[in-house]
Amino acid sequence: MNILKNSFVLLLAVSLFSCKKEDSLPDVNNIPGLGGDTWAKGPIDHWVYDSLTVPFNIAVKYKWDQFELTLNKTLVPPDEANIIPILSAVKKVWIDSYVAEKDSLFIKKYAPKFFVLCGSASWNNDGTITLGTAEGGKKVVLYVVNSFKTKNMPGYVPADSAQIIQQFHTIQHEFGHILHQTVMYPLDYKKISVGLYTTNWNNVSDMQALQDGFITPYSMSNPDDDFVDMIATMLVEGKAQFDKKVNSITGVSPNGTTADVAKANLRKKEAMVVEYFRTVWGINFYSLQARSRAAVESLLY
Amino acid sequence: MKKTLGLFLAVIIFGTACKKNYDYAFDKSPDERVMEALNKYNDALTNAPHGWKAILMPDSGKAGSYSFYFKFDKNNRVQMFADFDSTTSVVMKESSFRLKALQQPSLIFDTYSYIHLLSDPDAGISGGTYGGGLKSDFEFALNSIVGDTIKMTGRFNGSKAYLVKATEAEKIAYYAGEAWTKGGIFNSLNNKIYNYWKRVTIDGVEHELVINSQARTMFVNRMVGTDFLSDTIKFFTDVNGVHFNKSFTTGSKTVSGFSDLSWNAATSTFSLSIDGVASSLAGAIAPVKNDPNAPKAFWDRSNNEDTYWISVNSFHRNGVDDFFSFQTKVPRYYYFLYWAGYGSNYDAVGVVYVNSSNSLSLYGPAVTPSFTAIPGRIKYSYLGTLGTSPNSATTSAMTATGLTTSVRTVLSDAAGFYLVKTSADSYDMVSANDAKTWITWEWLD
Repeated sequence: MNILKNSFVLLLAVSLFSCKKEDSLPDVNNIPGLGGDTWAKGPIDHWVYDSLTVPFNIAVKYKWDQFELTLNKTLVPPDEANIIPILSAVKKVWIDSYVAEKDSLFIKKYAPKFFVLCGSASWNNDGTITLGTAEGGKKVVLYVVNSFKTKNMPGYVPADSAQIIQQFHTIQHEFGHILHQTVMYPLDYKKISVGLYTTNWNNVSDMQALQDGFITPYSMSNPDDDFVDMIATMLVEGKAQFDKKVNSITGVSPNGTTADVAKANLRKKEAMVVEYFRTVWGINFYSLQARSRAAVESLLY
Repeated sequence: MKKTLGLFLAVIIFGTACKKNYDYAFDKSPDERVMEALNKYNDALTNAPHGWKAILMPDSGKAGSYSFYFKFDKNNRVQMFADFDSTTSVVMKESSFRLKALQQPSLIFDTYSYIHLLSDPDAGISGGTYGGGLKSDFEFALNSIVGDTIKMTGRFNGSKAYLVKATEAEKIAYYAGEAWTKGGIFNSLNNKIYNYWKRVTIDGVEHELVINSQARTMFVNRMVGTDFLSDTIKFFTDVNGVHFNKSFTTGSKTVSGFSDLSWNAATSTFSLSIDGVASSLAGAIAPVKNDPNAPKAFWDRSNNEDTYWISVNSFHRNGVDDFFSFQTKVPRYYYFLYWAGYGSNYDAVGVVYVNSSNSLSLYGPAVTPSFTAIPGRIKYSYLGTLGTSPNSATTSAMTATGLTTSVRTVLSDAAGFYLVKTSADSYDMVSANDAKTWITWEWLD
């Protein structure tokens, strides 16, 4: 029995070692799509390369690739006519303001390196739509590119400004996330509106959010989004509009927050954002705000 | 026993483990074969000198068919026409495409063009649902290329698509903007001839067409002797005219489409030719055969089940859906409703809206139906008004009287209404006076 067992083990060993094959891998240079998609470069590719990739190390994917987006959603690619307008607007409002206020190294270091453009909005199951997402401080997806219109484009009506404001808001919002994920804001910020954060934010009106001391309903979803929505709103809408919003608060919210408390909380949040930019990044927030608002206005009015 | 088993195992291991020759199931590696396929399709697409005509049937081929013209070049650019309307048929739009191995060799239209209109998740663009669009595709798996035809299947919604090489004459006609005047104009038929029924004489027999240009389907009805024949046909249009997905026979003729379309505004008729024989298409105010039992069957279903028919677009008149603009003028409009036997001697017909306490309310006239006043039709007499007006605010775009008067005036038509059963769960109610006013009633389960 033992001999049999031993010979069996031996056989097994022999059979394993005897299988040295001479095959090499097939020619790896012939794997289709290895190294990314290629196509004949056009004016858009050259513009992106010269204006964003070379100076700021930012890549833009505008040609359809569902793997960069949500796989189970109906989405469409962007219209070529809108790609340079939206990207140059983004550059003007966001990158150029930061560069002027700080320096280009700041943008090179912290800016998301990869922009993906999608033509339509992304519809969610609860009836809301997503206008932009960011992942890991690296990738930003901008939706609704196809309805982007500035005053210099044919067919612009003042109502189109609402969407542009939202898109700039999205970019500033996502960049705000990168900043606080790099250096966290003071934890005291989370205590300002403690107890009022809710996943039900999409059923809250703008007015009710203000009455509770939040600048937007989405701010109510969690402290991080509260913080970056403060940054985004202040930068995109400007100081005058922000002050107007805060001063407009009257009455008591359904959650029992009084107007005075709401105003005080918003001012506290504003002060913390300004202080955060000064101490952490060495940026004068009010000056940045004036610049970025002026850039927004130059596109819209 | 164990010994035998041990030996047996040993033989198996020893005998099989050393298979040294390494064969592909095919003569080349998968990568080489994918590259070959991509190159084959790329060459076919870009080498066609006059471009391609294409048919796209969204939603696994269940939806209507749309036609396109594509001209692919070697620099990943594609020029496109589509038969949706008088712009997309005439104004060329250029965008990009690429071929990619996505498990199968695939063709991707990778920047926005006409083909994406059908897929757009914004229902305000081409209809369908928000977040879904018309369930079409712009990424296709390339299935086969046989002769002059490429067959593709959408990767997301399984749309079916066929590409057929175009001729030089077709290419010239597309770029000259003739796709609309020669074919696409058929899609606007309902905005040109306002009557519900259209008639065209084929081989001496009068044929009735009921056209749904949105779904790209039509009923072709005719009497052969005393027999009533009806075909449901899907159609698409291109630079050569109107094409049917299946042909129908009438007498000695097989009809597979219309060509040489032209609109004659003076007589409100379409000239067209069928198999080389000229004919004309005009409006008609009555069906070739009316179903005399339809009005009662329609009424009974609502009355017997004690529930109602609905219509989202309410009245269609003179080529305009929602003629009275209830959808925009009635605040929080929900749908339009028909409830047979709402009261012991009357039916309710009116607007359903969301009231201030967030529940549904009905407002509209109460009418008494008669099936015998004019045999084969339903005729109404006005009784009074039901429900609470949705327009308590004086600033409203439509007054309460305006609303009931519109509905009441339509329903009080002395000629009454025909009812046309269009599917198991839908009827069209057509004014017998001029057949230019109708309403589509749908059954909700």
